[in-house]
Amino acid sequence: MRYQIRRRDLFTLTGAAAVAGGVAACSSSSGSGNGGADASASLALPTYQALEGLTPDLEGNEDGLHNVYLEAPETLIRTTEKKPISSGEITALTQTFATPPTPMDANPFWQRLNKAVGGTLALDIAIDSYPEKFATILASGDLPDLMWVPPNQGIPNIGPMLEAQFTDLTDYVSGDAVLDYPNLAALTPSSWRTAVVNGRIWGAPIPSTPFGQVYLGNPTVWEEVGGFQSATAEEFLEKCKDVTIAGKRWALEPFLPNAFHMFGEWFGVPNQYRVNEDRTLTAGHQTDEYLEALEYAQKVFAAGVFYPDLNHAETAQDFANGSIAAMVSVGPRGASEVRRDNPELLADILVPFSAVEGRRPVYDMGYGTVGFTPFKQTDDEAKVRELLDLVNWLSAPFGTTEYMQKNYGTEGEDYSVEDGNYVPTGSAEADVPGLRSALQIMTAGEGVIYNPIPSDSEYIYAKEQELLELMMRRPTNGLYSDTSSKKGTEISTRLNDVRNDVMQGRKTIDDFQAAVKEWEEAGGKQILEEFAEVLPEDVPVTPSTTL
Amino acid sequence: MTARPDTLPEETSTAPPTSRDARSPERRKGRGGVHRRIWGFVFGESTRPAWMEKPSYPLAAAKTFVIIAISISILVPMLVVVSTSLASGEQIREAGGYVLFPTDPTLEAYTTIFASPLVFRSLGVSVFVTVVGTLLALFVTICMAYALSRPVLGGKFMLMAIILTLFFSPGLIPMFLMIKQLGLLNSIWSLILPGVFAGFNFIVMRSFFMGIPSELTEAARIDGASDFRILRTIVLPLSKAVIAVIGLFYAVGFWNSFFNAMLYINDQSLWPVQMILRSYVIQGTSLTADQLGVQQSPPPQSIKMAVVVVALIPIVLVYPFLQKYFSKGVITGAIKG
Amino acid sequence: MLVLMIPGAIALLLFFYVPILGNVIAFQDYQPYYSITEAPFVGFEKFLALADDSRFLLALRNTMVYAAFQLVLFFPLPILLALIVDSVMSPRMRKAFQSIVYLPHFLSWVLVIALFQQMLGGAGLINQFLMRGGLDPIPFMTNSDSFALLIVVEVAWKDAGWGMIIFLAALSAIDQSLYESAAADGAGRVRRTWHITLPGMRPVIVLLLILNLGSILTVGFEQFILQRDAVGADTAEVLDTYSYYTGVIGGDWSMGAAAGLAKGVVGTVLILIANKVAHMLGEDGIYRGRPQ
Repeated sequence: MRYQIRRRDLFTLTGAAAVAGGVAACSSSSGSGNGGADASASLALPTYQALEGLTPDLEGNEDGLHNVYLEAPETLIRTTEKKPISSGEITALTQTFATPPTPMDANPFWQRLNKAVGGTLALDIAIDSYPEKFATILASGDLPDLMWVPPNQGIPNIGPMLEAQFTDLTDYVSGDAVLDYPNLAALTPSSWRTAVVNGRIWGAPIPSTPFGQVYLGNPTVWEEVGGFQSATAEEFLEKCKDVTIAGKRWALEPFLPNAFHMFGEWFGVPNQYRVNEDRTLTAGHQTDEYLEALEYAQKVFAAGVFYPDLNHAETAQDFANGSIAAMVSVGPRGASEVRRDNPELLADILVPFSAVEGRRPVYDMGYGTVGFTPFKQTDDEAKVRELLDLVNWLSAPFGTTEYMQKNYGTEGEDYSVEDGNYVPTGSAEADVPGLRSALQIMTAGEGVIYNPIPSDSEYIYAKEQELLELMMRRPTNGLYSDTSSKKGTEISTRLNDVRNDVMQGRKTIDDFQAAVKEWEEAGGKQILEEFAEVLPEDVPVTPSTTL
Repeated sequence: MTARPDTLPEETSTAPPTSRDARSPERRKGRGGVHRRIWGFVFGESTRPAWMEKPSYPLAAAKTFVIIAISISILVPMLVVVSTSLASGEQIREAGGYVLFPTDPTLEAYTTIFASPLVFRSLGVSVFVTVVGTLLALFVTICMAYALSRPVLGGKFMLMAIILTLFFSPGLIPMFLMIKQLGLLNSIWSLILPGVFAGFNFIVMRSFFMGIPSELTEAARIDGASDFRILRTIVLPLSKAVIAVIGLFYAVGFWNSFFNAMLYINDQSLWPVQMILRSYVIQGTSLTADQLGVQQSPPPQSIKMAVVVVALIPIVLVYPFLQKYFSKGVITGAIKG
Repeated sequence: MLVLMIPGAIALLLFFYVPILGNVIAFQDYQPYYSITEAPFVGFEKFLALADDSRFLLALRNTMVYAAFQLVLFFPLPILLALIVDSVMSPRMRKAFQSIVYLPHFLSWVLVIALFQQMLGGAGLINQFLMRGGLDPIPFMTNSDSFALLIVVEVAWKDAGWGMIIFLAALSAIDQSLYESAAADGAGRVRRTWHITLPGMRPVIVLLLILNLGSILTVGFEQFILQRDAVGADTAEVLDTYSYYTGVIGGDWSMGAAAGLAKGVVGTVLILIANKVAHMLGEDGIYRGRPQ
């Protein structure tokens, strides 16, 4: 750890200026010192054991294909025996991505949940500015029991931070130890990998979806030009031009980074890094395919098929009414979610195709989790076990009683089942969504597909299978690089700023190549080396981009 | 104390009309009965002092044009906000997010947000913070401004110390630690106390205090009045306009702030309305969620706009009550009498 | 007299002078997960790094350009607005107009920019109108060359009415009998404005001008971060966004604090100079009292 070394050098230099506490902090965090790579190799990930008794209508698989429930399951299984909270109250810092819930004292759903877990879930729910909130609480030294740590969201220097303030959970969940917690054992190894830092496990991962972004199309619009699916990048651009009506309708939503990501897949840009034959890494933006995609993106932008206002907040409405014909969704599941804005609409999912003849298109799988939730530092085993019990309870997947209590509430009070669908009742509309979102972002089981309309689920399931044939995983998932953690966000933000300018024609491809050089100099090279050093052997070499 | 110029009876016409006045056709027409009465009914009696000439046509036309243009440029977007809050989801979808006139207006958005006690409570919190905060802040600022408007020991030092606050900021983390040390975390006072003294407001207030003719305060001093008494009986009554302005600045500052609540309050029942507003308005635009791959479910646009309206109304209602303090001549009109 | 200073002094001490000591992290390599006393001291390293960072220099340059634009183009607007309001003779209209121009101050930047887009955006009302007439759309909101003007227009729409209030208060302090005697002496409208109104407002105008000069390195944060995508980061990067990206997002809190300190020093120096100049021109400025 370069950072640690530098810090210690400074201590010797400034000599007496080093305060006693500083030395303590330094030694406590140097425990695993430089050993990130070695430790990673020897770590046994928690043993995977699927939950028994779940009855999905369509089966998922280990690649990430979701379990599908066409209707609400008739019987729910119970995965825990006792109420998890024994100390009365557990505090946590989390964030909600829905409108904030009714406060606890006036929220019957919350109160019933407290009862079910045997104590009070005292949540500090941020709505925004999570990095600031996280940092101030961290600095105060007065941490809540649980604190959600999102990946790469302005919470840098994560390794030393975890070692200084949080509890190492490796001994509690590594290998078969996790079997005490059936819902945690049912989290896949690829999810667990994202909770490993410096070769230790710091919390239960929070699965989102293993799938990555997809382009969604409004079928009624694309019908006019023979459908959304295209055979080449050129054809796609022609179709975009055809559906665009000046001042009235635009082919593509204006969020350029996502659009570029989609174009990149068609050109075969690797999923963040390419693993070379010699086990070194090349960053996506260092490849020729990336430059090709960039040139293409420039052309698409110049054609005027993007919605012209780049910070457009009403994309969902415009997609629903057909004035924006395509938008990028976080995953295939988004196809049915557009029904919220237009009940008549099920979006088309675009499967990546060869941009030019002979090119192997890829489909980038996502990070897979929204981070993990570490525990406040403590030596008290009973406390750690209690928190693990709680996280286990909250991580129960769809189809369990715990999941229903956490996400929908109590049947008859908060929701009822009508025609195989869950319908919120009473004040649930105000009480549930904000709290559900806050809880799901800090603890979750592996996801499933479940929609009010069964045929939607079948469509998504079928498309997921198509996408999986092209899938490429990020080779660095679950790997940790000091430089990346310290500088990665900053230098890639700068590079992406240049890329966006190039797309809009404000800068040239040459400028971009110069920016890549800068990225390499400012730490990029080091990031590649540090990741390559800890790259596990089971990560495959990236296949050639020609078919 | 004499009559204030703005209450002079209209058109008593004791002032000598200037030559330009005499030429003005507007003036002659204006004297007509019916026209004037209607005009007066719509806009209230004009307060044009007797000595002032009627504006020339081009000037009046230009002014009217500017006023109307500015008003439209503000009222149309405001109308869009209100209309969208009243529009149906279908209409909003067809219009792509914002509508100018709701085709079939509905109060659904408002009933939805008031169905949760969250919005009601937050309004209560905001009103409390704003009222108590403003009163406290005015007290602190007036005391300091008055003290430093007089030659006082260490005054210059204090003044410099205050000026520095304009350009440096303590930073998030040290402020958080201070609030925590004072035991104010998760207390409504954490929304009030850090805001009770603003350097800018102090400087403005002090500069107005210094504009008060010194012969008034000196006379009182010679009569043996204490500093506090002078403040109460002379300075404050003469400073209604600036107190109204600074009070408004503080009130709006307290009303609009949400960042302190974001950092210091973790119990939602102590959230001010701006937190609720923010949480509604930023939904669906959060890049964080996008990067994380979290599917967001933003509230319907009508609800967002309804929250905007709800957070806007109370503070907007305050203004007309303060306006009377900005009427001309309140201060010196009274002094010189 | 000293007693009157106590409440303010306590507030200053607790919520400014004690926490400001935390800025010592600008001279350290600080991380939020250990305490300030434990962080290693690095002297001026962070400041040197700033001066060496082309991004920081770009942000500095942009900030000064935008601030200069605002100072020249925006600063007079609230004064003009106050004069207009003041000249409206019908009280009902005066009140109504005041209340209208004051409204937009209460909308958040997120909403202001969304509303601007509805009007001026590439798909906004004006451009839809142009395109239906077969004309090319005008990229009001995505043209990085005219961004400085856009910024001023947005600020003017949002805050000119708000800024007006303080000048209205200044106007209310002008002795009305001065106007009457001037009118009696045959001074017309323009001459009265020039010789009575403006001099009457001058102390407040000078005061605000100096304060504005001092904050020339602060141009707002949300307005810029929200329009970053539309005009490009090179155009929209200002000191406050720079501090945010390096400090909060990049995790270099020390660098963020260093940028803040540098900004504060510049602001203080500028305001002292501006105040000195004001004194030389015979104005009160911000801290010299009128001769008693």
